[in-house]
Amino acid sequence: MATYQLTNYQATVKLLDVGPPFGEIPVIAVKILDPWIYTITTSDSIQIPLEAQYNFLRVTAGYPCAVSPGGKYNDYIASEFSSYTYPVTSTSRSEKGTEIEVRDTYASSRDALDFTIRMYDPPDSTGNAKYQLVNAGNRNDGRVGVFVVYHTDNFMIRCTGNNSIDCLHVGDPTPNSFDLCDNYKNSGLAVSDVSACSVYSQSALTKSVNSLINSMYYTMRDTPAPSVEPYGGAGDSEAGGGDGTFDYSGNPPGDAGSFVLPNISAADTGFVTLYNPTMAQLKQLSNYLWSSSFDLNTFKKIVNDPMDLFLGLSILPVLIPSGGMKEVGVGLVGTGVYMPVASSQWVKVSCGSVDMSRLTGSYLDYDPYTTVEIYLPYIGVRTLKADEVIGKKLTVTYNVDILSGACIAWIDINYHCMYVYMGQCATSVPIVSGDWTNLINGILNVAGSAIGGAVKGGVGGAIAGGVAAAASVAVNDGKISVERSGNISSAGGLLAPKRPFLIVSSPRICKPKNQHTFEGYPSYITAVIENCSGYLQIEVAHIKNIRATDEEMDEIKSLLLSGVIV
Amino acid sequence: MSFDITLGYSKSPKIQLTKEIVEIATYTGTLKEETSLIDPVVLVYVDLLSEVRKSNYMIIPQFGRKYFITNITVVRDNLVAFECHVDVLSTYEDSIRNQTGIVKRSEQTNMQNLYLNDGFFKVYQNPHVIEYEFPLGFTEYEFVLAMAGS
Repeated sequence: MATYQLTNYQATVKLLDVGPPFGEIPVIAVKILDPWIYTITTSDSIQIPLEAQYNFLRVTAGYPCAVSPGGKYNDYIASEFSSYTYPVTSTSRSEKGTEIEVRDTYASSRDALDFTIRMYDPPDSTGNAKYQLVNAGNRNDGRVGVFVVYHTDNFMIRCTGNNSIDCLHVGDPTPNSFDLCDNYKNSGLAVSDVSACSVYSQSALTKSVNSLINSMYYTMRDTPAPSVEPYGGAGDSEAGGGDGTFDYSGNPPGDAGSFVLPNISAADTGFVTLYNPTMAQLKQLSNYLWSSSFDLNTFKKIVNDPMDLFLGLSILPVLIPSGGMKEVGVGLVGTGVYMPVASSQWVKVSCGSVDMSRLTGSYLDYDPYTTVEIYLPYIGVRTLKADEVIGKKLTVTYNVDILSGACIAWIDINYHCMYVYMGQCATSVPIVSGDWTNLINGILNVAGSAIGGAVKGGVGGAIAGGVAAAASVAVNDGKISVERSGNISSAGGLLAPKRPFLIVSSPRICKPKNQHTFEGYPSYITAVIENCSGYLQIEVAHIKNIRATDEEMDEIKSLLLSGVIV
Repeated sequence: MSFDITLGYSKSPKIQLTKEIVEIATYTGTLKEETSLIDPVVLVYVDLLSEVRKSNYMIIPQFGRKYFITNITVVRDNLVAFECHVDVLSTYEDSIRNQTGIVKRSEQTNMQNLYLNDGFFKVYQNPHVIEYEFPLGFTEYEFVLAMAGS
């Protein structure tokens, strides 16, 4: 059970009319443009605290206030009904809608005052139920009084001063004019502008009404039922679709050929020089380093260890772009050995193209029936989606950083980049002991990762020179999936194939001779049977214009669906 | 009620619209009893039983229908009862040819789309494995010596 107060409710009010005189005080009909709305269903239990502030609500005609004891009826409301709540005891239907009745729960020091509260639930045209509570009482003379929740958005207030309003109290005699207020509204007689009223401003009226409304509350026992239905209409199915553009042109990226290598490089910084020595030139340099000309003490005035000036010596599988000859300098000291210098840090290597033609010319050429893998030098074997490459031209291009040895393999599909893999193609040549340690550790790391995969898959793999084979094994759809290699790089890559190649697994079709004459091949094309020949099976047809019996029509349709020969 | 019948032998599959019929004999038949036009039983006095026992097809122009002979019963000497079932495909061939529909499967090449997967192909367990080598690759090896300083 929970009590809900209509706090923060802000009604927009509109002065409808100055009604007929209420004694000496004018009665004003106010329309709540955004009225207080809540819904009571027959499954609800509701408790309505009888509070004095309800008395501003509509007063029904003919209720027994005229004979109420003790003076004005609203005195009862104020003094006796406050702080009492009344549970719903029954529900029923009436011409006005759902009727919820609260009975015999009030104990009073007065004589047998039983009260009944009824809430009428007539739906309006929008399906909402709106209520206003009014009072009535049941006297001990057997007459039944009711509190009624009326379906209306108008209620009556009266003027009590220039800057205040007072809703009609329960028990106040009314001129039965409320319905007239609706009539005024409906007939267009209601004034539309609050300025027509000499008593209130619109803002004052709104503020006052809101103040009254916000003091209202109601109590629901158990969980309140949803106001309309749980989803409030959200999620109802709607028509849709068919608004696609069918524009499959897209905006694909360019191919590797359109990729412009960086126009800056480490060699341009002055901190690094990249030489492209021949074997003979390297021997000259080596001879110099181990000769008496290489005065260690001279170099130690520049750096702690002269070998720190040697950043690295690598074997790269690419042609180094030449930038002319230059004497190799160790620090500020010339060695007398001249070598070509690299004009750029970046090199592009084209591996050419392969046309991946369709093999069966059927759905078997695509995933999951056909699988496509590609071996990429210095990277390893990678899986491609058959859906994306079958029937297309594949082009492989490498971009190589000759300083670090990093390489990127671009796989263009029909001249648009679709796959990019990274590898390492530099084989380090040890110059000092640290280089050797790094080289061995690098190989072992690659091999170790491949061995791990082999154990996981349950099948051992042979590792040689950093090339991992037969690593992991898994069973999919009854087929064993074997990883053809681990990562290949550095010295391992140097010993592996140097050209990319594709490995395509295509289903071997088992097709009986003249299969198409016995059961046809898929079509899904709309056609007039007259224009067809041979075996024919219909997916859908609305058979018409045949002067046959119903049984014969059914048989014709059945035969067309199961297959006929035209 | 008597009517003309043509007995024949169909050389075509039952599901073929236009059937190749070899005519055997023409007789006058009567209905055995109250019967439907869909599955009639026709009584025929035949001249030569050995001739008609080879028939499997009957045309009754008066009924406007062609029939498969589903059973032949010899009632007594030369009186044969043919149990028939209407061949709707041949009877209404012209009307059927004018029907329009979505073709599910077709023998006709220009009506086929083999990229639709309805599972019609069976495949062996051992697939073809084909390798395609790219025409170019890494062919050169060169040293790169990186030195600090310019």
